[in-house]
Amino acid sequence: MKQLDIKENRGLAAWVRRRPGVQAAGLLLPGLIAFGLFFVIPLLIVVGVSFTAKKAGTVDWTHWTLNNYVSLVTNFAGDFDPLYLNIFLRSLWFALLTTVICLLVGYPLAYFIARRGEKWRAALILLIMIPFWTNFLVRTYALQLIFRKEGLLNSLLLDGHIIKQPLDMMFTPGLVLFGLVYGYLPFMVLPLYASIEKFDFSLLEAAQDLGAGTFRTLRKVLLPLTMPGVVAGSILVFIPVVGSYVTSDLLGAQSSGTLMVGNTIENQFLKSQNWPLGSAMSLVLMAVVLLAIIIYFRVARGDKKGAAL
Amino acid sequence: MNKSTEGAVSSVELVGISKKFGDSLAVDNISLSIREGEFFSLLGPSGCGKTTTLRMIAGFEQPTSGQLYIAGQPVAGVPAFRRNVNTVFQNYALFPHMDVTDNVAFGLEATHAASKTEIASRVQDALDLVRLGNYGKRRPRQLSGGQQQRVALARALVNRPAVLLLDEPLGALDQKLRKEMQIELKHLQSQVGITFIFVTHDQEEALTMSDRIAVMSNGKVLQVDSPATIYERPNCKFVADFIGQSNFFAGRITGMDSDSVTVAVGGSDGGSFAVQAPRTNGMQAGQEVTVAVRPEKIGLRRVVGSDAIHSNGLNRTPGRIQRVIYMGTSTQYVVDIPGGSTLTVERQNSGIAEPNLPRFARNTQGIDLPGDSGLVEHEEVVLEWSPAVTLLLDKLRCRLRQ
Repeated sequence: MKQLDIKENRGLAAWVRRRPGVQAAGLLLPGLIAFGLFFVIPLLIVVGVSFTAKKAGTVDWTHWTLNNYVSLVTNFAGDFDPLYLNIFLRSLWFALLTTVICLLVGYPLAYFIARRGEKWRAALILLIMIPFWTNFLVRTYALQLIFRKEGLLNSLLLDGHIIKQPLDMMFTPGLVLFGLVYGYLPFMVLPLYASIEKFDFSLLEAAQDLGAGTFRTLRKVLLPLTMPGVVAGSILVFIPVVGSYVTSDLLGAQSSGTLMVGNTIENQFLKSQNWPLGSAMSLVLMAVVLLAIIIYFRVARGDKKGAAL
Repeated sequence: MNKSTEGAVSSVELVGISKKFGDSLAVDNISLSIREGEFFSLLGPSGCGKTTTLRMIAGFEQPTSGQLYIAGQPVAGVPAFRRNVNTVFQNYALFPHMDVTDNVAFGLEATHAASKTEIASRVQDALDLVRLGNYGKRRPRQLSGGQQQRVALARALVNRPAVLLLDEPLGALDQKLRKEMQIELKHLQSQVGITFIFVTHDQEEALTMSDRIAVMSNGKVLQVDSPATIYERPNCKFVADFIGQSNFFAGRITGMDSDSVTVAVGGSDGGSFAVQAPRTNGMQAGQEVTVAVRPEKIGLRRVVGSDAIHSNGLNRTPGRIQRVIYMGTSTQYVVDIPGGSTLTVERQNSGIAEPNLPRFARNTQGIDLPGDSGLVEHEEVVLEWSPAVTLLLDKLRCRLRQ
């Protein structure tokens, strides 16, 4: 026993144990390695690529330039060209609309689920999550099958003599929006459900008892106290939708009214073979999303006036 | 039970109210008339329907049948937020995201009952009333349980409701604070003059604060009376048992004269004794009855020698002490009596010092011993109580009365 103690006091383990700084660094190391390997280094590569010149299918590391960023807002002649700017704005607009619609649909849905009995709640939440078990691409193709000219919806409407001509829904902005709402609604419902479920419903009775009608109760009590869920859900929907490209690709087929940033970036990497421009777009997109989130947090915080618990 | 008897205005009136949840009957055809400015308690064990009754008055539940009137107006179909009643909830239900001032102002702002400046002054008055004048900027979670309780009171009272409903508001407080709040609530009620309807399962709380108590069990109202009447003249075995403690033992009426009856208690095997009780209508010779006596109404004497005591008109039985339970202000004795029953006797601890008392008691025949008189287990004693405090209950466990 005694011998063992002496050994340990002299060993590496003992040396580390006497130095809390070394200990902390050691514990942090695996996390830091993973973070650096999978986040920092790839991001730095993208930043680097965005400042290089175009070279088909790869990157020319010998030429450094700002042209990629300049060409986001100019044409070949160097004049102002809003082509990409419009795509950016459209993406932000689609993302905003998707978030708002998801919120309007998701809040009552989450509230409804949260007020069921325990058994029902588990079953309904499962129903919300089941679509996740199917590949997103496959689900988007399924939407195609439903909404195309010879699709399920048109044949049902025609058979029911509700319409005479098949509706042309494919490749419209409306369908892309529908696809986005369908695809991202669960990301809104789950955090909303989590925060509504924690809500003390006796507060609703208290508000009514004090003379507040339904709308006032909602605005003054339920909404402020479930704000964390609204914020989390909105961010979880907004960020991926701004950068999404599968939905607009398959349901919008890159027609001019539905093209989103994600599609443009994809095109630069896979079709135009312009990696530097694609990288520059990615980074600008990142900056824009970051800015949007910061603004959103500011507004949300102002709204609830410190409502968060 | 109806307003005409007292000539007072009825603040809340329930006429044949029933409430069903699915197949179970939570409230079973109850009728109550609660007077203006009264402190009225609904008392009963959990599940007796008292909270459901309160929630129907508040408007959170609709009665399955029956009529409900608040200040003389029928309120069927009137939603909670349009009723001139306010509730103090069991868990207070304060809004955690608002400070105390905003909590208290909520009702006035919701109903647009007053201008901004008037709201501010009324909120401050309400907070002063519950002695929380300086706590306006605090959040509910920064307050103790007792303070939260008072905020809940202020939040309700500031609206000047016709009726204040209190749903076990003292349940979450510790014993000492609860006693203080009982006094404070009672004081507050006499100050504001609003009708209070107070739901509790704590009989002592109800006795302490109420002008009248409705004792409920299984959705029914068993008795509505003043605390003293409920305690001294319970209508039935449930009330006698639920409020305070009672001794019950079986007997049979063997004799009657103009104003009293004689009940034989106990069988031939274990000895028997006779009990006198006041005579009331409906009593018949030979009738099986249950005798009820409160523990603190029974006197205790030591058996000395042959125990030749002159008749003093009291009911009397010999007994043997089975257990002695010291309770601070009093001592309880569990005493075996003839016929196989046991009686609980409670005597105040008078503070007469041991060990002098036993000698004093032994020398004094007929003295009613205090709780701290040094009686021990297995000691032979004589129990005495007045016929006037002896209640007779019939087979249905209801008190025999006029």
